[in-house]
Amino acid sequence: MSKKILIAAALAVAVGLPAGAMATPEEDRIQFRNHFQDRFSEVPLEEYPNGVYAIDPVGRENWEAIEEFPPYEPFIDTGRDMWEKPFANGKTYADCFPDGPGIAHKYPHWDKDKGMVMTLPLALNNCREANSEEPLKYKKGPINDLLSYIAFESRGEVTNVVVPEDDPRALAAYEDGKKFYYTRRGQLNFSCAHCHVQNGGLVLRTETLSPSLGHTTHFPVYRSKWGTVGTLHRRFTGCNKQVRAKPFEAHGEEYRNLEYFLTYMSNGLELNGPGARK
Amino acid sequence: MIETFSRKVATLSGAALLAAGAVLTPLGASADNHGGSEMPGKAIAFDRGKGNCLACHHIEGGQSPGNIGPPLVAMKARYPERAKLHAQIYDATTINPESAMPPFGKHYVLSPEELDLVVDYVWTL
Amino acid sequence: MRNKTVIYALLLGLALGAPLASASLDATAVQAAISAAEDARKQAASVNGEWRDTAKKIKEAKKMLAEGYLAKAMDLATVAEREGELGYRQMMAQQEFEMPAFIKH
Ligand code: HEC
Ligand code: HEC
Repeated sequence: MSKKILIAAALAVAVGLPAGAMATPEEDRIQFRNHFQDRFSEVPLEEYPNGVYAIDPVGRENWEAIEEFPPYEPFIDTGRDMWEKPFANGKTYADCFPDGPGIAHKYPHWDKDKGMVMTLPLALNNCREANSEEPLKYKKGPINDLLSYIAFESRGEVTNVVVPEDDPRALAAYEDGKKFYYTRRGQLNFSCAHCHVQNGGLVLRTETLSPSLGHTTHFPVYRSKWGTVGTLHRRFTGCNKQVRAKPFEAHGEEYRNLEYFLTYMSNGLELNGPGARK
Repeated sequence: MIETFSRKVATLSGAALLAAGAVLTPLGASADNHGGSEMPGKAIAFDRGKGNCLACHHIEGGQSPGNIGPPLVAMKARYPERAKLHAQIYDATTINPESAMPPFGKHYVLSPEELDLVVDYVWTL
Repeated sequence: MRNKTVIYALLLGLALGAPLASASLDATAVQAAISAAEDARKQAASVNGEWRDTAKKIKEAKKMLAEGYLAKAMDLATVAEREGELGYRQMMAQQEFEMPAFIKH
């Protein structure tokens, strides 16, 4: 540990950067993971994709009962139909995504040509537009069917977000997402990290706060509160609103970069979507 | 812009305080009688759209509290100076920069008058 | 400390005359306050610091002004401007990224 600091310090001096700017994404991820593994030392790593149910035994019982008859199943079926049904021009999603439908683990990724983070919903809409179809709405509605099917077909794949070193814009996007995650927002003045890192496992009113680790593995998610399946960016929107901050555009730059950072933190964890939550 | 803005707020809150002054004085006096249940600050503290203190703190008489913050007990012993208690609730980050407690005064989650009432109430806990 | 504040407030209130604020209210002043609120909101948005309900308050202020409820419109505009200012300052105070200590291990 101290050796690492020494090396980092030496590097910082050599490169002339302030020490705080030195952490690489990989260092961030290890620190992030260690934070939770120290805090919940009895919880095995592979449990984190189960969200709050990894640490809340009471909630877990209900959840296990719900998973016996998964509420997201009909959405998977509808999504399969969408995937297979040709567009008006005769092409299908498979023409855009030859490796599909099990492609969730390839997103988000850095798109060097476009110079931006590419998310799965954005790629799906790009495919639709390239085939003269209307784009789907990003938070509610049919996109969730399609995503449910893709998530289901991607189960067992492993989160593996890459921040390529040959394009400094990729690291900048990652850093931007990281800063977003740790920045206080809204009238109530919370960062994402205040609830999901600092206070993960504690109870806010009646809700146990889930640890951030594993937050991205199971989307889209069926929420009893929503009565339907919703996207990750819909969840971001809700969490921004509850601290009385104006939410950002789904799949706009802020949330894309946030997803890039947050998914990177879960590298190594298995995909298990679609999920079910309260 | 910040200058004009603060001037305007000063004017407004001056007027508001003046108006509230008549109400505030007798309340301040009753803060000592430990009659928690009748204090107007209690309703504000418990109201989910106002203080919502129960989201994070156990408070005697409050339903389903969270546990992000410590139970609010023995306040007068722990905060002999009312101003310190006021400061914690006004903006907790001045005491702990990483506090998860919302800055109820600084961000006007509560109006200055509401904040005073809540401090009066919490001080009796 | 608190007493002092109260005294200042009293003095201010006396100097201005508490009811004066509403007496001197005209549509032009309210319109100016709404414009100022809109500027403040935009400034906060420019640093991704806009709060959830600021735009709603401005919209409501415009509606109140149109319906002739000047005092209500002024209140809303004043609160919205303050929110814009606070949201902007909140972001400016965090320009320099710092990893919180609660995750340092
Ligand atoms: C005031 C506390 C609070 C803040 C701040 C907050 N959240 Fe949440 N978040 C919750 C609660 C409560 C839930 C539902 C219970 C749970 O899973 O933690 C939740 C759930 C989530 C989930 C779904 C977890 C799952 O297993 O399905 C994600 C993802 C999430 N939050 C991301 C974020 C992000 C990103 C931010 C910052 C933009 C954020 N949250 C800010 C309280 C918060
Ligand atoms: C989101 C969670 C949260 C909410 C809501 C909240 N607090 Fe807190 N509060 C905390 C935390 C965390 C602390 C621990 C000290 C710190 O970090 O500021 C704290 C500390 C305090 C303290 C100091 C306690 C002590 O033992 O020294 C007081 C007093 C207090 N809060 C009052 C209130 C009041 C009154 C309200 C409602 C108007 C409220 N809090 C709402 C999280 C919260």
